[in-house]
Amino acid sequence: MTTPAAHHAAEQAARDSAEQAAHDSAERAARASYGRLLAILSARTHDIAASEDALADAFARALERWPADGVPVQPDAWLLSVARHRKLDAWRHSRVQDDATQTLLLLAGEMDEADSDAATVPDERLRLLFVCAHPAIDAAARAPLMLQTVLGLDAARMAGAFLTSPSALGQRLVRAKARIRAAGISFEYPQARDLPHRLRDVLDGIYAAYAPAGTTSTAPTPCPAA
Amino acid sequence: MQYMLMFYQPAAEFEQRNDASSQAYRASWVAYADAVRQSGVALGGHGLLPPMTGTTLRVRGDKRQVQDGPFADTKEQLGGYFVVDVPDLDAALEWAARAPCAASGGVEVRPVFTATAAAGSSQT
Repeated sequence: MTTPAAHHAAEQAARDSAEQAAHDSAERAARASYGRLLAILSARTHDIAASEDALADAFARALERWPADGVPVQPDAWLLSVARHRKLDAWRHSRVQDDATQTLLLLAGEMDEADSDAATVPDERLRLLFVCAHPAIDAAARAPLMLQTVLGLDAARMAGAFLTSPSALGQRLVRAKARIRAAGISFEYPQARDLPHRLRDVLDGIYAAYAPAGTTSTAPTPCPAA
Repeated sequence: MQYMLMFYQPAAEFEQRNDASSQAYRASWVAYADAVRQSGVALGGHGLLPPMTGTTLRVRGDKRQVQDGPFADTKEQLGGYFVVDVPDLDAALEWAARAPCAASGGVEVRPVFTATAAAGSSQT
């Protein structure tokens, strides 16, 4: 026989464990899917910074919703959909009319694409790595940019590994992202001729992924899947 | 996207332009300019006379300063430009690589300022 107090405590425990489970799922999704989601979000608009903001919003929303609604069957697809809508909202608010039209068309295309293959979230991370390895990007920014976009590491965490200050590295990353968009760097795989050079930078970036874990005690080990 | 391809050439190349013995040099530019124009990517472009023919003007306060030539004392000088409309930076670099001065001087590839580009670069 359960007393009302015990019943209440059991409910509370159930809520706590649901919250914990949702939190764990969100963390797993963040670790495993961050780079994949960011690569997809950036592919059309080439705006990595705006995609990062939208994705951060989506994860925040997951922590709000998942404890109450349960973890969705496909967390990646859920996060992608929320991030896309966030991005669309952000553009609606920030753009002047005629410029916005073109971007809205881009995003509308992205939404259509999303509807048609809602079940599968493709992996565009390698493409994003090659974008970060473009010779038109400051050589010193390439590896940290890869770590940030694909693993979600921030400047403060990476600065030590690249022998620089967090603020200097942060600036370098902001400039690189602005440049990718403004200079019109393509989000396609490089031509065969450029491949060896850019592949070397990509491999440098992947190698560097294991450095932050070794040099700073607070950094988490990169997810092996990434 | 629109890009300006700025052709930077060493001083010796400016002299070659009027040199009867440098037909190959002139032919290479004619061939390149024809290729750019025929491809349909060109929005415009010109060759420029040597830097020594230039005049630089500055207004400081209510004073107008006029001086001969550009001030930059660099080995390579702007010798001409094309504005092209191509899908992305790689395509623009492809055209830049074909310019005869790519091997002797250099080509700067700069996106052209438009309302869309301005909004894009101001948002970070």
